Amino acid sequence: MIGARRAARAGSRGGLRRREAIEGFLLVSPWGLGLLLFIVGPLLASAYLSLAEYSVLRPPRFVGLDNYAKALFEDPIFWQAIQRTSLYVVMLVPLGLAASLGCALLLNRGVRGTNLFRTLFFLPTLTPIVAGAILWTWIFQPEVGLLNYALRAVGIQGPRWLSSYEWALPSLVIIGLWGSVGGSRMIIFLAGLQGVPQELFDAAAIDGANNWQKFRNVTLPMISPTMLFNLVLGIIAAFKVFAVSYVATGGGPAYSTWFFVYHIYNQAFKYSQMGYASALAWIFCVVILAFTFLQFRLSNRWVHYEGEREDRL
Amino acid sequence: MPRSFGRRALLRWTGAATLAAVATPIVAACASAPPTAAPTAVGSAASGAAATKPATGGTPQAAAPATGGATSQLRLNIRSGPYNDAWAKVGDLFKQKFPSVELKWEPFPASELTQKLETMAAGNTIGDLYFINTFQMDHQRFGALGIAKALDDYAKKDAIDWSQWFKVAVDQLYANGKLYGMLDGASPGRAGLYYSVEMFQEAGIPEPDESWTLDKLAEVGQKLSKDGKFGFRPLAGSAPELLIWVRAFGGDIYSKDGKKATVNTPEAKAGLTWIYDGMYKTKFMPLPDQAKDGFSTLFAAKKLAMHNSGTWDANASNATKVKWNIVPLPKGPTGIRGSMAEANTICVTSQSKNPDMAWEFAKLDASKEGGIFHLDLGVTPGGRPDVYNDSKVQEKYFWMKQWAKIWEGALPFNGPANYRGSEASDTMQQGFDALWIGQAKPDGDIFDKVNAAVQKVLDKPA
Repeated sequence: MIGARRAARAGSRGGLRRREAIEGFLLVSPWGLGLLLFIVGPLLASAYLSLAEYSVLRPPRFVGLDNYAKALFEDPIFWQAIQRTSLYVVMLVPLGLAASLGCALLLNRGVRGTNLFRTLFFLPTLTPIVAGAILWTWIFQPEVGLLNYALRAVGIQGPRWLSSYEWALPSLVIIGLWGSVGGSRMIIFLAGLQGVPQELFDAAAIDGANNWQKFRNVTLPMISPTMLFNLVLGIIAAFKVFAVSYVATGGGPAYSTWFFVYHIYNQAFKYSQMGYASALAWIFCVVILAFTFLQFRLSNRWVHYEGEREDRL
Repeated sequence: MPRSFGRRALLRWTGAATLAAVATPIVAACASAPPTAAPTAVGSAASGAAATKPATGGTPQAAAPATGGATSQLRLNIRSGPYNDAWAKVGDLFKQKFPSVELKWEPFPASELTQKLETMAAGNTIGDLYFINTFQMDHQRFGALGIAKALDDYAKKDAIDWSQWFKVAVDQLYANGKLYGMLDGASPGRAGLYYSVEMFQEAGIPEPDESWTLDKLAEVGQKLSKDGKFGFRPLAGSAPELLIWVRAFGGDIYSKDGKKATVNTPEAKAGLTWIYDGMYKTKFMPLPDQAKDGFSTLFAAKKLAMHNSGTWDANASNATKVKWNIVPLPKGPTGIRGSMAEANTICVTSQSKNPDMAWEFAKLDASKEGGIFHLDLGVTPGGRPDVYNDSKVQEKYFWMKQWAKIWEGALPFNGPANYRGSEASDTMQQGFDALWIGQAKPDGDIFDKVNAAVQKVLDKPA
């Protein structure tokens, strides 16, 4: 009797779907709960706190948009931090993309020892950023550092690197490049390059294209979705720069490496201005969203998807 | 016929069990959320009103030795490393007196200590005692916020004789007129002139003494600066470091009430210009990056003859293996020796479940024995004349005789009235960085700019 009822229920497609849906929800529920508790919850809390004065030890006091107004119109460091962070992004991202693509192209040639080079390129990514930053502070030391020593050997007087207002930021860009060029970005480029059909290169060769023309007209268009992916992630990661300035320069000298996330960190954890720091974080989120949106809008002009219809271009 | 327990049933039960396991504590937590911690409103420092509500729940109990009965526990939130070791030694003394009280050590790295304490206080999980310091005003801020328990009643009950400690150090224990801790250790700031005996002997120059002025320091410093060697390295980064030079020229970095920034006064300009000239004109001081890792590398390599610092650098100097000595930092042209008393404090938390025992521990930590333990472990010694002047101590640690002298003229602490010491210090440091890296000159408007920026911090609410 029971078996017959079960069989009837199992026969019902609606019942089966419902049961599968329930089971599906049950399976994802731990992740969903985690998302709600540890991501959505804090997000909503920070949204509220950005409208409040809150120093952790006193209850939040609602102040409306005061924190946002303070950031935009009263805090002199806010715009300086935006400017220094933007400069860092502008320097790091194009250089990083070009260098990662260059490394991927080299590895894609299939020369002997490719696996060794891939490992070597990837090694800096595995080095903790703090250890890397400390190592670089020694390399950049103007008197006894390795870099200036090498420059002196070829007759160049090196700059004061991390202690110079002009050179501190480029120094951090160099550290950033060292830590990211051979990392996941290079691996993604490599995957993109290996996905370019050989027949396209063969056709180009028949048409008399040289290596540069093949790269310009075949490789680049074919890996443009990969390029977009790396560009979007690269810009977001560069905007979020923090650890290297925290360790190597402490935001200095004279605010030259006082990045936006460093500003948020100080406001939140050093000066206990959690409400203001939350507002800064939301402004930062909007800036990153705007950049990402812009990139996707502009991508229509230069990103080509294989099999895409002409009229969509 | 037995019912089979299939895959789907397993999934169903597992899901239900997971949900129940996750939901139960959440519901329970929501239903029985503990009341928010004791922190009370910060009194308006600007008005000077003692608005902070004393956190004491009543008169302290007699601190009878906890012999027999239930074992109680003290949780100690301490800075890790030798500070923790010093407290552990104090703990041994404490255990002799109160054997049934269990001590639970919870050390945190110095860079995280303040944030940890603040977070734990907000979450009602802070221990019974914590370590903090005054130089960036965290002690005073924590007191005013109610993280620390006001100890006036305890001090009164035990008739504490405050003359046991340096007065300029004891003064820092108070916030809004209430006592919020005991002295774990104290120093008169970065007011010691450490020097390499060997470098002076090799150059045939008489060693520094108390009669020296900053002019003399500059003169000798220049003589010692040759062949890649530097005569003197000043500490000139954070506010307490800059203050030394400003005070030596008769000024200060804040007004006495802590409400006005005063780094653009003629005295402040003169003090900081003296450093600038030493770096860029007479060049007897290294640039900041030439001694980025502190004095020790240059000192050990015999490339640095003198540097100024606090008591804590005696052990670092020993580690360089250089024969060194110390005298009070020379006086400025006004006849003032730049200094500022700074203190490390031990505080009983307002959330302590055992404040009477915590008070007993704090007293032991602030005792002469506790002060010497600190010295033995290489951290800031107890802020007591009987530690600094003890003949055995001076015999064992030769530099303590000089520090005892420096204490005699130690100038009082000064900080922002709104307790934003860290923020004001960062603003000052980043602002004056432009001078030390040669980005700005002391004849420009840098002093007014930095002063205005610091004033903005001082104008913020407490």
